[in-house]
Amino acid sequence: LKLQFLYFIDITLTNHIMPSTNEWRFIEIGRLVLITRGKYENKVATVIDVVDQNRILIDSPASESAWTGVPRHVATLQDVEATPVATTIQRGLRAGKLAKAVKEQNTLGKWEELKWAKKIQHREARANINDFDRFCLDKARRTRAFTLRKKLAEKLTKAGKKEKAAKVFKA
Amino acid sequence: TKFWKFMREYHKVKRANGEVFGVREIKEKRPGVIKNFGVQLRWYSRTGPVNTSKEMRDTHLSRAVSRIFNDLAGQHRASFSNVQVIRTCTKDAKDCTRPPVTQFHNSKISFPI
Repeated sequence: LKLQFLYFIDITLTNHIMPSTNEWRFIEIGRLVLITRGKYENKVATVIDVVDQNRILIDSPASESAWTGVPRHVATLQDVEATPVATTIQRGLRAGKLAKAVKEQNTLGKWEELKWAKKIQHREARANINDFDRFCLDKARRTRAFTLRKKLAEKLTKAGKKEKAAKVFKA
Repeated sequence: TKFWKFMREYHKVKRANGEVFGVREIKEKRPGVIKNFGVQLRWYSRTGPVNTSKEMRDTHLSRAVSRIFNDLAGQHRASFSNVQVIRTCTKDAKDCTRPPVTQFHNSKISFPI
């Protein structure tokens, strides 16, 4: 019984929390990294060099993209999240050449394609919403809910479940 | 600061006889470059003074020395007043000997968090 219990835990944990080893994202020179805390929150930078086990030197030369614009500095790994995207660069590359390499290898493009990046953008857009847009959004959600319930009620009445239909949608 | 203490020890000047004209911060020349700092120290253990040399990898000398002070406090319980920094220098990667520093001397370094 104990073995079965442990096996159950193993499945549940590994499925959702632990990625397999070939999906691990390594901290290496050229790795694109998302800054999750501090002044440059939600900006993306490349790892230029590694100071020690907890610190890395990161840089993100400014470009038209809103994801960039981080000066070269030492960041702790606690405030940073490794992304699946990487650039092939030399250790300690200077800002100008780094910008060139990032542009040539389309690192930011690869990052912006990820669902992760889109989720962050979506979250930020929602947070910076206009009062009028907030009203429109609410109205849209209410309309969607209304239409869905109406359709569901029609389906239920067709299936002969009139009581349930009445609960879902009151005309 | 230790300024007047060392002035007194190495020159014939006391705080009562001396005057500070100006203070200038020595800024790091290349803060965007990671260096290996070698620091020679003299610290007082419970049994007597000990000479040590330590290596630290950092961008700024001041930060490296701060971390070495913290390291001594943690490992040897040597507090700030019991530690004297004798000499600091920047070391090339090939001159470093301590494993905690040399393990990062790898241009293809890669590790998962």
